[in-house]
Amino acid sequence: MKKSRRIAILFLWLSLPLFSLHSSNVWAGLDGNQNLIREDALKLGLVPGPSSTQNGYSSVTMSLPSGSPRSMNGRKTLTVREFFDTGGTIFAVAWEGSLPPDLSVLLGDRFSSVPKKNSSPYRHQLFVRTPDLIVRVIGTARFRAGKAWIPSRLPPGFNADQIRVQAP
Amino acid sequence: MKWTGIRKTGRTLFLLSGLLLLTGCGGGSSSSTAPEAVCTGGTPPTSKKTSSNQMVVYQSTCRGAVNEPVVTLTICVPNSPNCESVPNILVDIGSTGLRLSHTLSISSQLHQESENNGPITECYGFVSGYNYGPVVTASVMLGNQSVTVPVQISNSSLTAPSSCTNAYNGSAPFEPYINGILGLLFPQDDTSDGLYYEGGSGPTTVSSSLAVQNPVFLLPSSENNGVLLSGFPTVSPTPGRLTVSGLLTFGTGNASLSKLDTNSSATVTASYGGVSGLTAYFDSGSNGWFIDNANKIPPCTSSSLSGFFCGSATNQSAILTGTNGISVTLDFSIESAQTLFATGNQDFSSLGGPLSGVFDAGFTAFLNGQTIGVGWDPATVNSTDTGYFLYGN
Repeated sequence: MKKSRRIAILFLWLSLPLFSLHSSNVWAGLDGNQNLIREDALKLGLVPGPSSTQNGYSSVTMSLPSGSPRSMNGRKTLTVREFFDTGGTIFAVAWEGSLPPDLSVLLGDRFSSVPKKNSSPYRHQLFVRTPDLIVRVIGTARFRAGKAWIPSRLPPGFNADQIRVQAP
Repeated sequence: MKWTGIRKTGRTLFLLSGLLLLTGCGGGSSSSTAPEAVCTGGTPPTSKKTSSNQMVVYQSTCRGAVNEPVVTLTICVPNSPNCESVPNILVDIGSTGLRLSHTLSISSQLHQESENNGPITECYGFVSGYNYGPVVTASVMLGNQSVTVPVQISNSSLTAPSSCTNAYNGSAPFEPYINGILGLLFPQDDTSDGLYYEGGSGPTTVSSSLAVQNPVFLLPSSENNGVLLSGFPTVSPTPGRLTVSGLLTFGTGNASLSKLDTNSSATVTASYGGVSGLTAYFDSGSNGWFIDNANKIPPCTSSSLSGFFCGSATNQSAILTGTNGISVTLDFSIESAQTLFATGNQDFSSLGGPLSGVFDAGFTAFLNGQTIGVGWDPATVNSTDTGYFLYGN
């Protein structure tokens, strides 16, 4: 094998992790850009709806298609809503359903703030509060509802109670 | 969660509650020494009279937990005299099947199940994380009935498969807060909510008879259609109680309770604070009223009390409605978690926190003088995946 070819193959091997690292991180989640919300939906196995714009923010709601094998003929559900500001940055997410969403997708880079071993005595609630991330999840083994947001990124006049899957 | 606010009183409280329950420490193990990390502590108060299909439920005597109803279960190696009386097993109508900490003496003696491709392990997801470990067979005493049933050993020292860690956030070891969870929710087995592995490979499907099961389904026909939790005292909104006890009854009996049919997520709907269509459920495994905050009750802002209310609100009322249109009204109060935890008590009817879109009637709801149960039709529940909640006097 020619030296130049060996170098080319070595370069290819060395660069593979970089490519795979890059490709595995193509989603948005908290602090990501709304351009990648469809990638989030793909990663979560959900189908996104149209973007909806309210006063000072927009959101996209995505849900599990009833024909998906994970839905078990409609018995299992999952709906996720991502909120982004006028600059396109995702500042909050909410979810609800019988299936848990992959929090590493929804929380993006902030996922590292969630403890890897949860030392809480409680099975049915997860509360995380750091200066950069608030996570609240409650539920049972068959139903979960949660929300997460970056406190400093809430748009002016936006209240954390507005972070919900469905408008009341 | 760190309970820095109540840690000062924690040690005293733990000792005191142990004394009040007239306990001897230790799990009643057949071995001479208990593993270090096991939550030892109380045995049931003896003042409660029980029928053959009942067990005493008491506040966990493990350190640092409030509103945690537990039972003492006798766990045996099937067809052997090797048994252990294990206190502080959470009574949970929000999960399915019995799970035990690997730190219990009996856990290492129970035989692991195996199928085509090797020994069976399971990853079961709770909200605060997953429990991973081998599936074993155990004989369990429910009241005066013994059932032999597949049980999960939750072993937080094992490395869980990536499919498990990707599906759920971090691992959630039982010890030192509880020794196990008795999951009393339908359906019979947990295969639709757990990930199974054989010989370390998977996720895969296992025979339903080998899957972790709600042991109540294995009781005689008059006792296998659900459970009731009753007899807890009515606890005033403040200052709460140091401890409480009540009864777990196997079989829903003929009590004239309101029956709210659920959907396949084991939820009903609620109307509260002028908002309708909230997703609602009763759950002995959550420790408060976690509810849509339309009434603008101030949440706590400190990280140690994150998730709870730090404001108060009296005369709260919610209407829960089943898919069959039957409704019940729940009256309650909310008190500041900071105020409640400062009392040093462990059982509160007024603890809660905000969560948009839902109405979680946690163990607080069981401290209002009502009987609450979960039930199912044993003949159809495994195909419909639906059941009902019971509520009333």
